[in-house]
This record gives sequence, C-alpha cells and structure tokens, in this order.
Amino acid sequence: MPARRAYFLPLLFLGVLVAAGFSLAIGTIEVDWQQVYQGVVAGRPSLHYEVVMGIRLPRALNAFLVGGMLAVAGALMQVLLRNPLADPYVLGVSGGASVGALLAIMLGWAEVGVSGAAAVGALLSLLVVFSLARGAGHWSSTRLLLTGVVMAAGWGAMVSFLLAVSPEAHLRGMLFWLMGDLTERLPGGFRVGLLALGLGVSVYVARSLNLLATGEQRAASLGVNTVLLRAILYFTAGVLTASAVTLAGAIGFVGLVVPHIVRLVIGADHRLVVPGSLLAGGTLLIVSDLAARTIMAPNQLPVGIVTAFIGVPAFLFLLRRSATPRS
Amino acid sequence: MTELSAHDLHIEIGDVVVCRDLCATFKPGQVWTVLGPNGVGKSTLLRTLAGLYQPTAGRVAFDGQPLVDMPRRERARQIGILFQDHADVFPLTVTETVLTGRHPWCSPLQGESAVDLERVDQVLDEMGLDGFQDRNLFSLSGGERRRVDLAALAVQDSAVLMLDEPSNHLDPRHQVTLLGGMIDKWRRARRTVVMVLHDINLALRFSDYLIFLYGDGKASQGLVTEMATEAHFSTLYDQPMGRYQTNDRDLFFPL
Repeated sequence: MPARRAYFLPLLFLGVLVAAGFSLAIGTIEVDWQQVYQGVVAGRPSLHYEVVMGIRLPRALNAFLVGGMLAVAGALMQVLLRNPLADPYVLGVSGGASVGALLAIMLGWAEVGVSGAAAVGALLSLLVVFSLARGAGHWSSTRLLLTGVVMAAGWGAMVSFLLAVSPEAHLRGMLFWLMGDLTERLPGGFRVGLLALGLGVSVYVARSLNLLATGEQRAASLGVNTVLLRAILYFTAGVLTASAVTLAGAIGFVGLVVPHIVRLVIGADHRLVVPGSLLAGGTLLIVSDLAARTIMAPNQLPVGIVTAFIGVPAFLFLLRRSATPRS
Repeated sequence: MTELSAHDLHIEIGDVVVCRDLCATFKPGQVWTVLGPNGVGKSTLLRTLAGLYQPTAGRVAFDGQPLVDMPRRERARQIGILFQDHADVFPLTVTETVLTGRHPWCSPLQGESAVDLERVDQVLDEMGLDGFQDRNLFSLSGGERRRVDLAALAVQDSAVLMLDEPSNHLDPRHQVTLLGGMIDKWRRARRTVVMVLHDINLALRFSDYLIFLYGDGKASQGLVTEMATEAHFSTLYDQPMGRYQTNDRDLFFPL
C-alpha cells in the first residue's frame, strides 16, 4: 500500500543526490570548488569548472537517465511477460539497436549517425516482434516472449557476424559500443521528455499493473482493458529501452536486477515499484559510472561491466536476506 | 431487476462444444451450480457468463443489456469471478491482494480510500484471516490462499458472483461454515451466485438450481430437487451413482 512504504521514495531520491554529488566530486583531478563556484556565478571559465560542469555533470545526468529508463522498462517488461527473468533486452530491442549501430560503425559514420542507426534498428525490432507476436489477433505472454527471444537470438547472430567480418580498426569501438558506455554531452530535452512521459504513463497504469500481475483473466474481470494495457506496456518499455540503448549502448543488468531489488525492499505494489526503479536504477548507474572511470584511472572501463559487478552481489545479498521463513 | 441472462448461448472452445442454444436466467437471490465431467467446459461457461469469453453465437445480458456493450468498469462492478487457480508473479501482501478487488470502485488516479481499507479488514475478519494482513502471499498455505481469493472477490461487492471450484483446498469446516456461510449471506443479500463444483454433495447443499453439461453440447437445467436423482447423475458422469438418505439430506456417491 502506498502510504506505508512510500517513505522509501524520498530516501531513494536522497540516494540519487548523494551519488550525483560524489560523481561530480571524484575523478582523476582534485576539484578546486572555488574555481567551479566562480565559473557558475561569474561565468569565469577554468579547467576545474570545465571538468565538473562540462564532463562530470553530463555524465552523471546521462547515467541517471539511462539507468532510470532501463530499470523502469525492466519493471514493465517483467509484468508484461509475467516472468521475473525478463529484462528490457529480452524481446530483441537492444539486438536491433546493436545491429544498426555496428553497421553504422563499419560504414564509418559519425557518432550521431551511429545513434540514429541504433534507434532505427531498435524501433524496427520493436515493430517486427509486435506484429509477429500478434499473429491471429491474440497474443499471449508466452507467444510474445518466444517471438522476442527468437528475434533477439537472430540479432545476436547478426552481431557476431558483423564482428567477424569487420576490419580490425573498427573492432574496439564496436565492442565498447556493445558493452555500453556513457557520453559526455548534455542529454537532450527529448530524452528527458521521453523518460518523464514513460514514467507518467507507467505510474498512471500502475494499479492495473498490479492486477495484471495477479493474472490476465483476473485483471480483465476487474475491468482492465488488458489488450490495450499490454500494448501500452510493450511500447512504453520498448521506447524507453531504445532511447537508453541509443544513448549508451546495451548496458546490462540494470533493467533485470533493479526492479527486483526495489520489490524486495519496498514490496510489489507497482505504484511504488515504478518510481522506485527509476530512482534506484539512476543511482546504480551513476555509482557504476563513477567506479568505471576511477577504478583503473586514467583508463575507463565499460560501465556495463561495473553494473554487473555491483548488481550481482547486491541482488544475491537481498535475496538471501529476504528468504526468511513464514511470517 | 439485476438479473443475468443467457440467450441461445452457443459456446465452443477448441474441439469441444460446451453448449448449444443454452437459455437461462439467473435471478437475484438464486444460487446455481454447473456440474459435469472433466473437460466439458464448465469453466468456459462461467467465463462466458462473466463476459470474459466470446460465445460463438448467442449473448449474455445483464439487466437486459448485452455484456459486450457494457463498459468494462461497470461490468466489473456487477459481475465478479473467482478463478480456479491463481497466477501471481510477484508476491503482494494479503491486504494488497484483497485490495485489488476494489479496483472497479476506485477512481483511476486516486488510490484506495479508507473506506476500501475498512471493507478489506472487515472481509479478512469474516474469512478468518485477521492478522494475515501483512503476510506475503507466497508464504500462505493452499487453503489460506483460497480464502484470500474469496476475500478479494467479496470486496468487489458485485451483484453476480461466479465461483470456479471455490471449495478447492478448503478443509471440511471451511467448506461448510466459511464458503457455505458466504453463499448464504450472498443469497440473503439478493445477489446471484453461479459456481462450478466437483463435489455433488456440496453442490446440493449450497445451491437452488443445477446446470448439467454433458460434453456433447447438450445441457439441462432445473431445480436441485428435480435434477438430483441417481439416474441423472449416472448419465451425466457416465458412472453408476448411488444415493444414501439421511435425516436431513440425501448424499450421492459413485458405485
């Protein structure tokens, strides 16, 4: 029930702020905050101002956006597919994006072109799976899952093929794209808008999500238009995933594990799980990115590796702790 | 008159013809039970009557209005259904689960009100589930879980209640006092109950009317007193049945 555990949301928001604070403060150079302050207030440019406002802040914002999008998409996907193992990529969205992006890299396109190609690939995959899974008009969770999984496998083979035939010079860039990384350009308003829209839609249908999670027939008997709801879930999750993947590559683990962590802590009411996943996913990715660029500094690790390193033990720990006997 | 009626209902699912040209009127205060062998489509008939499955021909109407023309939310306020089994993916608490039954009465944007919560606590108490409010669903026994399902249906406060094998997992005491008690209460409140049961004797004990589904599309219906004979049950189940007469009721059993 919302009232009881809703206090976790402000705590999670505080977590975002703390993580962002550390992310701005820590890095290869020790920041002189006086100079940053001068830069903000008096508009006086300096190296330190540039590092904090020009590099670290955009990275933190991107991390928050991508983490939030993936976590919300994962929460929706798990309900849509009625499967706790579902993640944002299970239906092939990231596979489509990867194939698009790798093709663009092979063709030597600039970064904008790569992102555009990834977006086209992701949306294409989204539409193909949707129309194939509908079949004779009715689509069950199982049919959707199987269609998506097979599609994802197909994309996976395409990715391997592209890696196999691409010239040596492009390989490193391709691998980094696949593992996922964050850029240092300020996120556009479009993405922020998408995330806000996705969050709004998800929270609006959250009570129906709870019903859907207790059974599709039961949800229908309680007045939910399940066909419409499932289409909304599919496209909301799909577009959020596409946007995240286009911005940062296929960063793994956030979308699978964050919704579960949130459910273990806050409970399974999706009115809390959805905003909770947004905040926790954002935090996880900010922290992961901070670790990715400081652990082996000046070298940077792909952030997707770090999300797994942090996410796996955190999840296992919570799972063990929650496996308490009855009552 | 808040009555549910089936008009020339023809239902098919896969290769099974559940019924042909079935007409029935389920009036307030009546308790009906659908009986028949495994796989004849008893649950499908129930789902069709609840507006969740489209019949091949014919229609189901509530208050004279075809269910297909009723807004979903309005239909959910009038007709509730207890499913045979449950398919939860994530563990809500008992209170959260029962609250989902209030969905048709809550405005889309607002959460459940104090009134809804009060109703839930009241029903949990009736179901002998007081103290279970914060229990995780996955930690319940089969019988406790069944009572949670019943509670979720009860708080829906619908005029018509469909129950698919409501006695599943319930021990004899809960079958008779709890389920029987709920059904009596609903009958007195002039609500309509339509259920599927496998236990003939519970069906006779609880209901006023019976519908038999034979499996070949044939169906028959009538008052319990007319329908409950050894010959009828023997034909229905394709199994010789005997009758044991006690002081206040007859019991049927397979020979």
